[in-house]
Order: sequence, then structure tokens, then C-alpha cells
Amino acid sequence: MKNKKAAIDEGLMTIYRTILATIIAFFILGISVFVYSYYLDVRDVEAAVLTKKVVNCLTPEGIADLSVLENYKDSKDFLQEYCKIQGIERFYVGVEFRQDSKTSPAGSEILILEQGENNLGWLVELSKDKEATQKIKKYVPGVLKPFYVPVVYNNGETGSMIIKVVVSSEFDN
Amino acid sequence: MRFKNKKATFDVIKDAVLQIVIVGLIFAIFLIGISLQTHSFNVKQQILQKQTALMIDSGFPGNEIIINKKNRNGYISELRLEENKIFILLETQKHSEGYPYFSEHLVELVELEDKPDYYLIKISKKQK
Repeated sequence: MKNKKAAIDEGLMTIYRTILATIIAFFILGISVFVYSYYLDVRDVEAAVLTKKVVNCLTPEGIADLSVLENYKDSKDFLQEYCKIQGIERFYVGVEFRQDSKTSPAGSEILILEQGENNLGWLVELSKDKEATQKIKKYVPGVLKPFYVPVVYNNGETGSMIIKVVVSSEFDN
Repeated sequence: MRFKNKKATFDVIKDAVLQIVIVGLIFAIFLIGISLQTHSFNVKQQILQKQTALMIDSGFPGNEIIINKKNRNGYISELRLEENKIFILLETQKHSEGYPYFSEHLVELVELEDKPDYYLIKISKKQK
């Protein structure tokens, strides 16, 4: 009877030690995963590259042909259709053509072209919060930067083009 | 009585060996995991995929990107382009989520028969 009890106790101790060793091992492994993992964020660069492509496409030699671009006003894929750029599912691109503020005091908008989802703006705001954790930050869209490029319209008038590019993380698609 | 002691001793040794084997196995798995983590293959994979994707993003027709398989980030065992994504596998890696690239040009991975240690990514104008 005593021997049987001792055997059961010994068996329980073996299970206990094994579980303890497993917990310690996986705890250390978990820490190493956390310490050695790193997220490289290149979305700012991607936004800059795409902005350059959009400017070159919509205003070749600095002239925007609004008579042609107006056909893409209601298109949700103007970059694919007009500029033939593929693989931009993660991007929101908004282009606003405005009249020169000298000729029109309000600098009124002439044409707006949009592509992608612009519902990630709140995440950009959240990322400015210092308390936002590193873990959340990798899901925050890349940039929300307007770029101002002076352009001449095909009718000879001058104006500006405002481009907004938001790049969501690769995990969102 | 002597026999009983011998059996008890054998049982203790058996238990000890069993424990050592189990704990050894757990630590082997642990050490393999730690080794893979400290090699930082995931970070190196990210570096290679994102660097190459950015080069494709900003590439023009006529540009060629040559990547050495024996890279400073480790040996590239596989590189492929699929659905506007670049996939790079290092050393013994089996999986990659890939990184998306964008381009208005035709991007192709070309096999170099005379240079098997290199990958060539060719950017050319799309045929209309």
C-alpha cells in the first residue's frame, strides 16, 4: 500500500516537474520572440514613390489635361484605369485640382479624383497618441500627407494639385 | 528483500531517465526555437522583401534588379513574384506572407542559366 502511494506521488512529481520545465522553456521562448521580432515600416517611402508616380501620370510635363481626367471623376479605380498602376489595394489616393488662388480668391476646386478607402484616418490620429502601444502601431496606415504641386491646366490656366496618400499595413489585405 | 530493493532501485532509475528524456526533449525544442529567433530570419526576410519591393515600386522600364542568392542576410532558398507580391525564403524557412509591390510596368523574374547563384528581376514596358 505504502509502495503504491509512493509510486503515485513520484508519478505526480514527474508530471509536475515536466509541466514546470515546459512553462519555463516557453516563457523564455516567448520573451525571445518579443525581443527579436521587429517590424520594418517602409510605408512612408511607398507613399512618396506612389505620389511621384501619380504626379508624373496626371501631369506629364506639368500640364494636367482636365478634359480627359474629368472622365474618371466617378471612377473608383482611376489609378488602374488611367495610370495603369497595379497592386495598390492598400493605398488610398485622393487628388484635388484647385484653381490658382490669384485668379480665384477661394482657390476653388475643379476636380477631385479618388481611389481606395479613406476610412483609416482615425488610426493615423490614434497613432499620434503617445500611449498607443507598439503593437497597435504596425496596423496604423503609413502617411496622410498632402503634397502641393503647381500645375498648368490644358486651357492655359494655372492651379495646384493636392495629393493625399494613405498606406495601410500589409496585414490589412 | 534483496530482490525488492533491486526492483525499487530500477524503478527510481527508470523514472529518472524518463524525466531526463522528457525535459531534454522540451529543452531541445526550446533551444531550436531560441536559435531560430536569434538568427532573426524573420527580420532579415522582411529587409529583403521590402527592399526589393521598394526597388520594383520605383523602377523604370529597362531596369534590372540582380539579387545574389548568397546574401548578407542569409542564403535565399526561394524568390518568387505572385499577384503583385514578392516572396523570399531564407535558409530553411518554409513560409512567407510576401510583401506587396505596385508598378505600372511589367515585372518578371528571369532565370539566369549562366549565373545560377543570382536572381534577376526585369522591369519592362507593358505590351498594349
